[in-house]
Amino acid sequence: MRKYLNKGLLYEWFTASKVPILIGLITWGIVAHMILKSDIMLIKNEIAQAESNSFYTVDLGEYFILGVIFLAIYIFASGVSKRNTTMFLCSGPYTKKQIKINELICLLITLGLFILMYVYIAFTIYVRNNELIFIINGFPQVILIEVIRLLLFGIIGILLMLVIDLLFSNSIMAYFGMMALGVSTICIFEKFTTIMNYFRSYERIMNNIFGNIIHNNVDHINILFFRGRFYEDQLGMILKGIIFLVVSIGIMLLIFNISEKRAKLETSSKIFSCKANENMILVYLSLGIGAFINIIITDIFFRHSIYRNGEMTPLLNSDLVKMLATDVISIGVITFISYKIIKKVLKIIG
Amino acid sequence: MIEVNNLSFEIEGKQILKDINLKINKGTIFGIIGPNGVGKTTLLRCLTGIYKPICGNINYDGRDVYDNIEVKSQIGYVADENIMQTKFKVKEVLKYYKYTYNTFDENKFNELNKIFKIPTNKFIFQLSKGMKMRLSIMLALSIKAKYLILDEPTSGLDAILKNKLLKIFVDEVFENNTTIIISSHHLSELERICDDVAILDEGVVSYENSVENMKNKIKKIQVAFDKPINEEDLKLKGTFKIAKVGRVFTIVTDEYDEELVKTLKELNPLFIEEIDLSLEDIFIYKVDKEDNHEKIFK
Repeated sequence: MRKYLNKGLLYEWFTASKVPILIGLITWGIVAHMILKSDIMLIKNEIAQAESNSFYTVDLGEYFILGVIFLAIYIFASGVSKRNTTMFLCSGPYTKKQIKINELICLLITLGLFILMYVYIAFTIYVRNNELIFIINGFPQVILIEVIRLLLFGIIGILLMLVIDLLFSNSIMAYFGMMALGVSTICIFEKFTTIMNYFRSYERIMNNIFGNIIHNNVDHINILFFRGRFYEDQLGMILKGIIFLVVSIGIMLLIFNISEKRAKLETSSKIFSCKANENMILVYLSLGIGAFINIIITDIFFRHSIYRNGEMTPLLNSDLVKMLATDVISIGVITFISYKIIKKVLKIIG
Repeated sequence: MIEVNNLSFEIEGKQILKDINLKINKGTIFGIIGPNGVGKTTLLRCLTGIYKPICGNINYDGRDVYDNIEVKSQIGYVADENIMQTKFKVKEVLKYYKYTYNTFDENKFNELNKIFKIPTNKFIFQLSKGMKMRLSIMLALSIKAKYLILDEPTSGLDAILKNKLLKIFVDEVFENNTTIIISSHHLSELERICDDVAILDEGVVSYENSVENMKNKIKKIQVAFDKPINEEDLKLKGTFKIAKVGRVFTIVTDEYDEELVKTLKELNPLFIEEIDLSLEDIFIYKVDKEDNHEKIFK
């Protein structure tokens, strides 16, 4: 690790991103304060109505703003031209890997600053409401869980951002790429669940994979992933969730390492970091478009076969074969056409 | 010593550099010249260790440069355009250099700044093109690099500064035994300071020699005859350009010597005149493939 911690690289990164970090910290402080304050208000009302005194974890969606802040920080740190900045750093006494790992370290340090800000805000809330908190169940535990969530989901988010950025030659393109890849993922996932539901096996598969992590026997939902009240008996499930996230981080680190090796400054074009990445992204986006158009087609023409009484029903015999064939052929054809069109457009753009 | 062995480089299947072999001696100034888009900048980026060659290697005293921290710390690189983050202040860039190179000499930077006059409190984006280039050169010189790789370092500089800069480069070699590799389109400048020059054309080194040898060996010879002479008879060794106006022939050869003159004399010419060529003339003769040389064959 020591060989990756370099004073010059750290200085360069933090000097480039000091302004967005400062603005981001202030914004995050305000947001964190609003989130915690509204939860305190909620629990105050619940106590007044003798409903419950257990403190809530927040919905992960409320931390979306943190993702936006980190994206802005990263784009600022890379500079107007990511390629030039990388070239400048590469002309110095650093290896390509050192530069990339340093970027990751800097983002993790920044995440640490944001977590500290959250803890500070939680502390001020505690000081201001200490008499109330005395009768609230699980306030410190929930804050600790929130810190763990911020840390683990933050690391996953940072790694995801870096991996996607490594696919593109400049950060602005990576920003649009993240959105396009995200939308594609949703479409592909949606189609995947529909196909699995033809066999009525999606829920079973998901339950087998994530069931133990998401909820326990008494049907408490894991507050590491969802908004929920804190109860002592959830600790085992939370621990399972933490292990799941740590393993995910390990896998992401592996992907990051591979992506880092594949991205080459010398072969980066105006949009993509290398030809192989370009092809991979184009295939994925085309598949997303294929899945999206297929969802519309099936919704228009085959709605009566898939849905009965407003619910998805498993398909049997000829219906199953017909639907699967329609899906495979239409997705295949649309994906191929989309791929060709995007490729042509990219050629025209340069 | 810098050794470039069988270096090839391609981008997306397009060959940029083909089988380049160079030997650059310590304490010399090596010029790389060539038309636009032949791969000079790519070669310099390979030499700096920014780009990894497809095949071949670049050794600095026997050590490969790519991803080699030790070797790269001895190289000062000046890019053909600004690659520093434009939102940085000059003093911030200075601090980055201080942290990055433990050889960075702030006194030397300040001394150079007396000549180049860069306000350290300004942002990079506030500097003109010439000022950015001056800053880049000053930084490269201030790290006391053993090797300086300069890509068009005089572009954007006025004549006075250009003159001072060339003197600084020569002093650097003389005082610190620095090796300088320089690419420029201003061939008269290179002619003044370079020990050796390589001509890069379509990704290959088409000619390499010391400037002195080049000027001694590559000559333009004007020769006139009182009787008709077949052009084929004048295609002697090393002749790579030949033109005829009336009975006066103009021959350009890269193997000029006494023997060649003797062979010409055997054809009983009315007169033989040897004309020295400048580096620019040599470059044009060597690289320009078309036969319309009105400027040269005037």
